[in-house]
Amino acid sequence: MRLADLIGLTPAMTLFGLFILLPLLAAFVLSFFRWNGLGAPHWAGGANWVQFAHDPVAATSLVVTAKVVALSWVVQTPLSLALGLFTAGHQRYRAVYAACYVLPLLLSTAGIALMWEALLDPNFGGLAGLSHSLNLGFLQQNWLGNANLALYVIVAIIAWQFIPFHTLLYQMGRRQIPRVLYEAATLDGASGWQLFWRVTLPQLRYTIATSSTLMIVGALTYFDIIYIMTDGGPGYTTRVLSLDMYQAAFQQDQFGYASVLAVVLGVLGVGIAMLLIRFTGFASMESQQEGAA
Amino acid sequence: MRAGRLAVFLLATVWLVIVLAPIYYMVLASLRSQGSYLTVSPWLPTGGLTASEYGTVFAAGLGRYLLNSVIITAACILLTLAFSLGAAFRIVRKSSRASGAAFRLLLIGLAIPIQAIIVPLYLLIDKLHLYDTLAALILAMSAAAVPVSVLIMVSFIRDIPRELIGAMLVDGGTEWTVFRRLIWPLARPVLATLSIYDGLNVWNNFILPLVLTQSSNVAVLPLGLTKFEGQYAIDVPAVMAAVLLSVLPLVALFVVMRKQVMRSLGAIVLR
Amino acid sequence: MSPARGSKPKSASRRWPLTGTGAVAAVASLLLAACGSAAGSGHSGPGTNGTSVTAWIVTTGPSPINTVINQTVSAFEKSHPGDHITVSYVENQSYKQKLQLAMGAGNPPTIFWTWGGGPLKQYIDAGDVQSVGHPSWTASFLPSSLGAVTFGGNVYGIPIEGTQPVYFFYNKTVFAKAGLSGFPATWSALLADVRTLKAKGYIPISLAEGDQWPGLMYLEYLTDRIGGPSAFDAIEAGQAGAWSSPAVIQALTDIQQLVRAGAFQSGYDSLHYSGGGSDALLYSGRAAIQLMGDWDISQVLGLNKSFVTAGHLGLAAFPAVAGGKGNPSDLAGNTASYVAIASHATSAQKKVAEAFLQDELATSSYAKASVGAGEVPVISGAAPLFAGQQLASYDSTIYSSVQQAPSFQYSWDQSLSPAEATTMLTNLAQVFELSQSPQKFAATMDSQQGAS
Repeated sequence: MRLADLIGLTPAMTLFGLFILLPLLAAFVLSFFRWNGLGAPHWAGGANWVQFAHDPVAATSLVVTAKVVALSWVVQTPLSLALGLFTAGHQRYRAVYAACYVLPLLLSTAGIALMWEALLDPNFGGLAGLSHSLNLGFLQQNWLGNANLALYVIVAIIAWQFIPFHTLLYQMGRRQIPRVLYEAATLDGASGWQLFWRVTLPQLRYTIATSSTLMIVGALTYFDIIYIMTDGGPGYTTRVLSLDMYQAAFQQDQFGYASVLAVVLGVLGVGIAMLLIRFTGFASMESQQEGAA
Repeated sequence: MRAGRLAVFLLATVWLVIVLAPIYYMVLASLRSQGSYLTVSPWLPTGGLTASEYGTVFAAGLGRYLLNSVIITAACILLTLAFSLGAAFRIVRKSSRASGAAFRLLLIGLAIPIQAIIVPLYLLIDKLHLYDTLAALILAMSAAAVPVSVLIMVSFIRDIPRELIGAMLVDGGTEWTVFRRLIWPLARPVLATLSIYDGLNVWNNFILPLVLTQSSNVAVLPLGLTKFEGQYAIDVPAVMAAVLLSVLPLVALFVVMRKQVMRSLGAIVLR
Repeated sequence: MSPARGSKPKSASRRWPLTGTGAVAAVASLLLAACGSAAGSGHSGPGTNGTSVTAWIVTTGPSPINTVINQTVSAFEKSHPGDHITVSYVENQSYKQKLQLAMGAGNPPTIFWTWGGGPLKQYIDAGDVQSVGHPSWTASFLPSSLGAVTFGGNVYGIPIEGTQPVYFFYNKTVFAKAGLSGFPATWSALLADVRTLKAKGYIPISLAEGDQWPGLMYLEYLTDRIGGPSAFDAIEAGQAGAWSSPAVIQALTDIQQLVRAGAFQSGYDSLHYSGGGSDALLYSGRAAIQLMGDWDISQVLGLNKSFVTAGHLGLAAFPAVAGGKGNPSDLAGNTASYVAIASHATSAQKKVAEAFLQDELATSSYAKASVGAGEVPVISGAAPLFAGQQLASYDSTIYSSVQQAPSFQYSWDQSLSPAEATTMLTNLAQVFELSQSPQKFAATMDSQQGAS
């Protein structure tokens, strides 16, 4: 190994290895033990894994997690793209819009959760208030207590929190596209939508890949808002896997079983990330820039 | 096209309302008392406004929490970006097998949820005598930010033609020259973006401070917000006031970084 | 959907292997070392300069009882020169997790705060808690008040904060407007009043079931009123089929009857008590009744002072159920909160801690000071202390009801193992949402028995 590699790689890999990989390895080992957090762990063989295979709650959580991931991507990507393209324009009012868009990104999650809880309260909340004064009956809903609604409400709030970041990514990506590409395409007779399909979208593919990877991996492990607002309820309708794991560990004191869930979460995350990376070339070490560059 | 533009403008305006209305609600709620914020009109500034909650949160030590948050956020950004840049450079250079192995390891790290490792991490931090220190937070949060930061950096600087690097080395340049002349200019804009991304993750992280610290003199903001939460009740207006106040340093950071983003982007476009 | 976590097979567990190979062994020893670093983690030992101990107390924000505790600590340090007690106040939300991790790592504080019950039992079983034996001061507390910290005839803690029984609270103005003369004394009368209130346009009962524990209070009381204290004793003792006893099934059926009658406000299943919404419904006159712990009085006082001081907040015992075996004077709730001593402390630290418990906390002067902070202490003979207090009439009622209660059932979620408790709460919430039948609930809980 070369000295430059040693100097360049060691700090990052030490930090990562010590504080992330080592604990992950420990979690994997712990998944074969019974441990209530006190005293010494007891060897359990594959019992925790067998339990996982037969646990209907875990199965439900996997489905809910998949829904959150898929819905988050479907909701956030087109909106972020549209808003990113809009804010990439240089008009003054667009800059004002862009500045406002950033705000949700800056609020702490606990604050966002409490605010939405107050807004959505069916008796005193802001939406119920609007429903009364504007006569908009559909705003009067049991937003978080209705098993058919709660998951969508949570996905919407997550989108509210994270669309600003992805909008920024797309804004940046759009501004990096050289103007000559548009001029050339215009000369070829393209206009409007055609420019979007022929120049903008292909040029943004790395931005899309980056944004999608962050979005999907983020949604997979999403925790805070759900923990504060519904704690998985009503019933099990918003109980994502990371929440299931947290409850198994810190509310039920089943650290061994929680480690199984942790490992599953980790493996899922890594698997999805790998797929995305292979599919999009996002993390390839080679340059894949082609065409107009 | 006309219709398309109009549709995008409408969408942008609707989104503006969706963003601003809840924040307006938040501002209004922060000006209420704990007993009245629910029972008065949620959208109109009627029924008595008071700034007393802002006093409450400062008296409760918000300044200290803010300072701690600024310290760990700044330290994490510096540590993460410095370390990640070094690693990304070597990974793109591909000069030894170690860099490829490191890259694959980091790919795994991309998707590890922090909750998955929290228990062993706690035991480790305790073992290192770092429990209840800001250093514990800085190390753990920086470590968590390394994979994604490296990956994004790599995706930005991988476009450097190998011939260019080869030519520079033939001309008597060192690895350091390559870094300074080729990597650094390409990496700079992404540093600004990553500062924002990593910085926000650190700023908002709740679970690590919850588990790794204890005393209120090392409490950071997200944890500090729970100090307005008693055994049974949350002082919601106080939390709203604290959240709004805590946005101010971020706005400052963001304004600085935004300029940086735009300037560097400009540099790229003109290149 | 069956919500039960599959119970774990009771395999013969063997000890963590001390030797091994490769990374597994490295990680194992890391864990083990961290778990076993018990001794010597105390911050100071005995010495000529006295002893320092740490104490973790759950706080309710800047509450008056914190001031009392701080003053008591100062007084103790003055009378025991050289000894130091450092008190850390921890938020309730994070406390359990924090203590669990600290216990697991072998470095808990010398003195730690507890509700007693199942979680304390878990620490005792793991050898983490120091018994204080059966000292003479135990006699000075009300008989029902030390049950939560007494295991196998040994006492493990001392009350530090007051008792918290659960009562029905009601808006007297709303009751008067609806033409109701007083709080109903029987369950069927309560149901009738619910219908009357509903017909007059009021929300009969506000419920913060988003937190899940408020609903549990209904189950605790109904089970007691119908089957007497023995119904839950059987559950706690882990008797097979105890959850399917007629009393529990009847209690759950009664709960669903209340839900079907439209007793609770819209969105009751997602409302959190901590946000103040369920109290706001009560004091704003939109709802008439709430079942809650006695802390609700000071809570409402803080939110809407005049409502309490003008006497609009009524307090009533849970009604009797016709034909039920339970005594209508039985109480449910938190008997008290306690402090206990960790066995990890050095013997000098334990000595200081024990002295603090005996010389400061088990005294009538501490009881008096805590009354001043709005607590209702569980020490004997406290009745005269309430005179002149802002909430004197509430305090006296509560104190005498605790004194006279034949049984004071400790909150179920604290009495059961954490795993069983969380399953119970989640499933009970579904009973309240009418998405699970009483029989299904009982079957699920019975299949949980023995799961750790």
